[in-house]
Amino acid sequence: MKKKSALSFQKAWSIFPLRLGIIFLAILIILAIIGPTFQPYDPWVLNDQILAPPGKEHLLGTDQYGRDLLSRILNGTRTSLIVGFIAAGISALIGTMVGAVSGYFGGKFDQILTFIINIFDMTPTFFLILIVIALFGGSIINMMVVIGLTTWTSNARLMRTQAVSLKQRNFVKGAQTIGKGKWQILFKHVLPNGIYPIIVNTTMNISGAILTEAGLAFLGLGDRNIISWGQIISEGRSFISNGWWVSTFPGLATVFCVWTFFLLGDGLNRLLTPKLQKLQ
Amino acid sequence: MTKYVMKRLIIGLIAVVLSVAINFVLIRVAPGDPITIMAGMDNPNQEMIDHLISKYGLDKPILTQFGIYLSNIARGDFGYSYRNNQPVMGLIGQRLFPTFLMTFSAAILALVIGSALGLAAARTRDSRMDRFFSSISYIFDAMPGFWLALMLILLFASRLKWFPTMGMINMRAGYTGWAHVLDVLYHLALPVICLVLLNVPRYFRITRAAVLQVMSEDYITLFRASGMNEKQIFRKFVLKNALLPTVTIFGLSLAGCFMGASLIEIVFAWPGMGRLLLDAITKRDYSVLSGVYFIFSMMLVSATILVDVVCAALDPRIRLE
Repeated sequence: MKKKSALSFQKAWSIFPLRLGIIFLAILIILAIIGPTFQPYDPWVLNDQILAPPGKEHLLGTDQYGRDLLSRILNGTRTSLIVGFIAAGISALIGTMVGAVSGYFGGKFDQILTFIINIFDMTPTFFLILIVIALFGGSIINMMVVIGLTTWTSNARLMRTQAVSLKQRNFVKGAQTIGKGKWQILFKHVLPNGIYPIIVNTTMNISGAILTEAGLAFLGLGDRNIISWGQIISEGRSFISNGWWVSTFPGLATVFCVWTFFLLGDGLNRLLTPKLQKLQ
Repeated sequence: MTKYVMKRLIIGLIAVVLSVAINFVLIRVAPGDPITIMAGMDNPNQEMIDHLISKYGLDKPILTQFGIYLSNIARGDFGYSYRNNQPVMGLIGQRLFPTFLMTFSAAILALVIGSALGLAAARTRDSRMDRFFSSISYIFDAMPGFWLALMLILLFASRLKWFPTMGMINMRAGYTGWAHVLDVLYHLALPVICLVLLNVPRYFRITRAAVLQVMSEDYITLFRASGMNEKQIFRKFVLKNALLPTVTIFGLSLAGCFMGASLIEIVFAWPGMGRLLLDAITKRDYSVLSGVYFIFSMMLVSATILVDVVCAALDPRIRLE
């Protein structure tokens, strides 16, 4: 068993986008954890140097209130990662469960689910999220829950397809023949074997959630008590001609973070579905 | 075929009714009472309250309220924006043309450029160009659209002064005729470049994948084995089959592009739906927000149905399923 996992890690490491993604993700996580301890200044403290350009004292400059930009961006890392992971996690959890049950048991529930997925396909998700946040307030918890609750259908669709096809496979049929319970088969055989597309899709959903949060913050619907990249970009918009750094750096951070998850998704896709590799 | 179309239309209709229902429920479960939310202000006067109660039947049972709400929308009445002193439908109507202009120009350019690049990349697979575009396409996907818009303004408008920073026309000049058209085009350039950059990756990847998919089919191998000219195979068989998915996703992308344009319009102060959206958010003008949401739902539903029907018309396997 140990040997097998070592081998698969080696294989994972040999896929370039995955290797890059893992390294970048490690950097991001380390920054999110230790960043706030090593930040040069308190990100909330105002000082007199308003809109100071990047320099020795403030590495990335200061914003319109004289707050240190580097410290703010470091704190934003935590926000983005938390929003991405939790929102995509909620989405994966609901989607996997609903999709597996619906695909494996079939029947009425399956019909209803397929119908719901079809309807969700025709819903402008970003605007639905926007309206909910506008009405209920943009606390970070609300945001993660709402993003999770509106994006689970893509996972449910993938898991459903997996469950439908796994149901026909011999090892599942074998388990049925020897009298294993339906739920036991679902959890022991269907879920573990069908989970790969969900993992890939979830990394993409993390990117989506981070971009959604940035978009909402840009529209002024973000959480005022938390520092987020989208919010810093949005605040810097008014100072684009005399303080380019305020919007530019948090934007670069966002691109880096979202791109990391794209790399991970692409890499995991190649690792977990080797058939596709020929085509890509 | 007719049965298939009918089925899609019914699902579409249900989707629209459902989005209205979501809106209806949200207003009622949100903190604060429905009257202040619909009035869009904290202290509406007594007449306004009475008017809203009688118009939406707020003193009647909840199902009757929903019936009234639905029939209002079916008649094209999306409510009244007291902040702007205008019906919501009129407000949205004024903003549709600028948004359409921007979105259509960008979507068509993105389709042409994206699929051309995708074709070229697939033909020279694994070449330096292919690798370059394949990796850069993900970086553009990773960008928040509004940030790219800001960066383009910073570079091309603020620094280089090639393009105007904002708006749709030069207010001071007051051009008419062709000068006016040119002025609009001049203002249109940067937002369109931004949207094109954001949408090209999608077309690029789909076309590239489709070409590679077709080229790996057995019949192409057969043509090759029979000694047919490579160029001829490409032009006659690969191209036709590979462009199909690109064209069919165009409809959906258009709807997506339309919505994504909102945030970019805000950055460029383009007088379209995005600007309306931002104003509605800052003023807490909920009736406008729900109107915009409804229009976008309608658009997505029609685009989805249209794409499904076109796909079904082109591919019998879909409609017979």
